[in-house]
Amino acid sequence: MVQSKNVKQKLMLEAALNFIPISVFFELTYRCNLKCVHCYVASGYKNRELSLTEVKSALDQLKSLGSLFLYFSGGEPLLRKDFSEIFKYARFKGFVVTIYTNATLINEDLINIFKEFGVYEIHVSLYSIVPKIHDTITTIRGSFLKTMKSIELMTSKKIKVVIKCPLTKINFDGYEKLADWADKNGLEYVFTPYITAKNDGSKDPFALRLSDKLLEKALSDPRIDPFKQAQAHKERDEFFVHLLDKTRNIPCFAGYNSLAINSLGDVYPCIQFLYKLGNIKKQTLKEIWENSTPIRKVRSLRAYQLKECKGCRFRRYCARCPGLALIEDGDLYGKSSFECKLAFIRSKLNTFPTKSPT
Amino acid sequence: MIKPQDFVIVQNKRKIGWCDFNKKKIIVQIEKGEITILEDISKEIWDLCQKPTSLSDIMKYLKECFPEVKPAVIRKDTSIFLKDLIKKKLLVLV
Repeated sequence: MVQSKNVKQKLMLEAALNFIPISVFFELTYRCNLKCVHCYVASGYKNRELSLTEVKSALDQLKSLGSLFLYFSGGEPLLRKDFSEIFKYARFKGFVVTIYTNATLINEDLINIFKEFGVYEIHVSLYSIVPKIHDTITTIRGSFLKTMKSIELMTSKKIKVVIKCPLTKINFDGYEKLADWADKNGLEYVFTPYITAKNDGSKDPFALRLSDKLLEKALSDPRIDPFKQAQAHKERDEFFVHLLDKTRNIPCFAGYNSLAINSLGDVYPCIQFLYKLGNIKKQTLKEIWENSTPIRKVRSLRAYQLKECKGCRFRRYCARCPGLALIEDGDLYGKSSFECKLAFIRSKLNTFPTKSPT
Repeated sequence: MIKPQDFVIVQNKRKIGWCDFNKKKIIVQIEKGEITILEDISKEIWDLCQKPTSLSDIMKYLKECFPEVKPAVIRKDTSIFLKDLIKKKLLVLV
């Protein structure tokens, strides 16, 4: 029997080396009851989402491939009328389920289901502790109050809530107060400066990104991701280092130990890496994961093939994402301009990136 | 027939996630996120507990697997192993 602090990270590395999609991001719908200004989901997908039968079939197939950690997202996944059934089925199959939600639709009935069947974490989008700022980002008045009420309800029932807060020009000023509030209430939180392009390629959300000055402030704050990750990586044993060494030339583990399925059934290496591998309405997941031409291309990528990055002096500070390189800069083998900017700032601050073997 | 020193256990499926992984069984205790990895005979014992199973049933199975090992040793090791899984809420007493 094996158990250690690094066990999940080792598991992720071992999964990568054996092509086991242990971590799966599943967008159940693109519908949403909020209209967040920075959201990466483009409009126009509303009526073509996977049916309950198709979702269940996908879960069956994922189980056969060895998947374990399942992340339900959207849009707003709770908008699906069959969400409870999907959740119960996922638990019946043995998945460890995390839900990404704005929490406005969470009620006692749903909480009872989470308690009875076991949910790992609920990640709640909360953009500020100031109602007006949160509602400015969601563009729906009253959304802050609904989200907060649900957070209180879940924490009172001992359901683990993680606050997710993308940092934009709109909410940056108040993020410290949000972190203080979360600390006071014993909630974990994740702040991220990554505001990405929409999934149709639109770069409109870029206008909300932090200025260089604010990025520098963000990356120098120990409460924003990098330092936490660095801490988590301190305890590396020999086996861990061995696994890391074997995966050294893999630029990203998306397509190795993780995959993503959107609400239309399209399969990608990661929800941020929009290089389509196939569609589960037309192929089995096994075919897509094991034999498709796109997955072979993704897995043929090597760090030394990234010509622009090869000699870069900021490389050790960089967490280059192939998905961002593709959707924002148009080249799977190229640089990611946003990551270049972050790496430059980190070099000035001498801090290391968020990249972890997940 | 359950003897006084016997007990019946079953996987605590409402509190765990699991998958088969490279001939191993990965079990996650949902509330704490703790990961337990079972291999070889521990994995086989775990699989026996998919339905309510008594310590005697497990003992019977293990004696067949390890005829050269004294039953008292098997019983002691198995009890320790099972009690640990019960403590971690991966198994529950029925």
